[in-house]
Amino acid sequence: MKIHPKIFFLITFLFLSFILLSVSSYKRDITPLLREKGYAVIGFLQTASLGVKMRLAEFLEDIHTSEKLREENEVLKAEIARLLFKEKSYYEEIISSNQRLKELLGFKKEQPYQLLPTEVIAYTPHNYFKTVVLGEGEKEGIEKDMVVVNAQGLVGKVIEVYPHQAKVLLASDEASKVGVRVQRTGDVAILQGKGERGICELKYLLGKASVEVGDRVVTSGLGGLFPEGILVGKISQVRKNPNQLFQEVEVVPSVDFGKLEELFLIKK
Amino acid sequence: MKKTIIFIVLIFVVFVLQAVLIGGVQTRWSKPDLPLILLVLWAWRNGWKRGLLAGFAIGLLEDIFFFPLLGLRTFSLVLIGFLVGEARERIYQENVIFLLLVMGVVTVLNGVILSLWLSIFHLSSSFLGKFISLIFPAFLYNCLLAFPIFLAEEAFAKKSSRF
Repeated sequence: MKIHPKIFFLITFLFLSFILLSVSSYKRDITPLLREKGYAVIGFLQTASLGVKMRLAEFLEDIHTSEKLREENEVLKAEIARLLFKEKSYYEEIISSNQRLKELLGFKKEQPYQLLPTEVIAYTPHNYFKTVVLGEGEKEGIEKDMVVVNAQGLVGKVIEVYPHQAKVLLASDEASKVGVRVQRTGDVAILQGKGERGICELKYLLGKASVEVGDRVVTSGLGGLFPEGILVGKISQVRKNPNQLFQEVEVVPSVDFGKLEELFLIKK
Repeated sequence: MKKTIIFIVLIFVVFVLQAVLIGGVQTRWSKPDLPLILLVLWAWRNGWKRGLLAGFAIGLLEDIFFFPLLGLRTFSLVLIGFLVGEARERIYQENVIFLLLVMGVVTVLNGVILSLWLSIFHLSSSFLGKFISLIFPAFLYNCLLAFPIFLAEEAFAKKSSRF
């Protein structure tokens, strides 16, 4: 059978693409290795672009406000964001589950982690994945699997680290899986992003769990990756099927992923 | 040789625009696909062979920087580059509206192929869900953005041919 040269050419390149796909699927560290080299250039441009945007915004703002007021404002905003995060995710969790135990046992809990401020320099340029790029990397002390939060709650975790950048997988992405607990009932489940519409779903939540719309969902701390007690979102929809073991629950994240500001990395 | 250099410069500019300009904007919605627009224009003007090679080059670059697996985007763009270049040779049509129609069709095709691969390689749980949520906004954005680009390219091509 004689194949037309055009078709042969096309099949060759499609086959080559498929080989690349198969190899990189088997050896997942190939793409990040190649990306690390490229980020040395792209990262510089992204940081420069952010610098230009920030400078332009500052110039316009300077027309109406003084330099001193703006600096004070930034410091206060960062402090408020830290306090809000602690209030929403950490303190309320302590009050609801540990207060009585502390009184009974004379237990004094220390804050196990510190919050390091960071900033986003780039967002997903394509629609298929929900990731952002931070302006700090390995040289600034960022490590893989570090958890990222803001004043509203859980943002995501670091999945790739380069010398001066880091890629964060947002909790709303389909590849994101977080061990969580419904705060009111204590039922545990896995929170997985749905990719579209910015919502998530609770997987493996038993049908007998008595969760309701409006219930707060926090990280469970199981697995050791995500610290316990970080606010993740609120239940927006519950669908129970008596013939199924698990119920279908949708969660609206507490974080507005369209407006990510004042981010923090959790350093244990 | 001259065309290759022009293409390399164009890829670099478009790639930087996609990574820095479009990647620098935070939005809840879909984003336009500048590399796809460039590929359609290039393949339309230069035929199936250059279109296929351009698709391979752009796809590989995008896979390295923006996608978790090599070959994911490459496969889609190789096919699109070939099909657009081949369509141009068979359908002699200079109307920019027709080119927009081609743009719309390849946006959908790109979405189908990527959603399929993401499903097969377990990077997405629902092929249909991904396809529906991403394709229509991408279709609109790409066609809207492609229109002035195609018009400008056509005007430039006509001006160059006079000299």
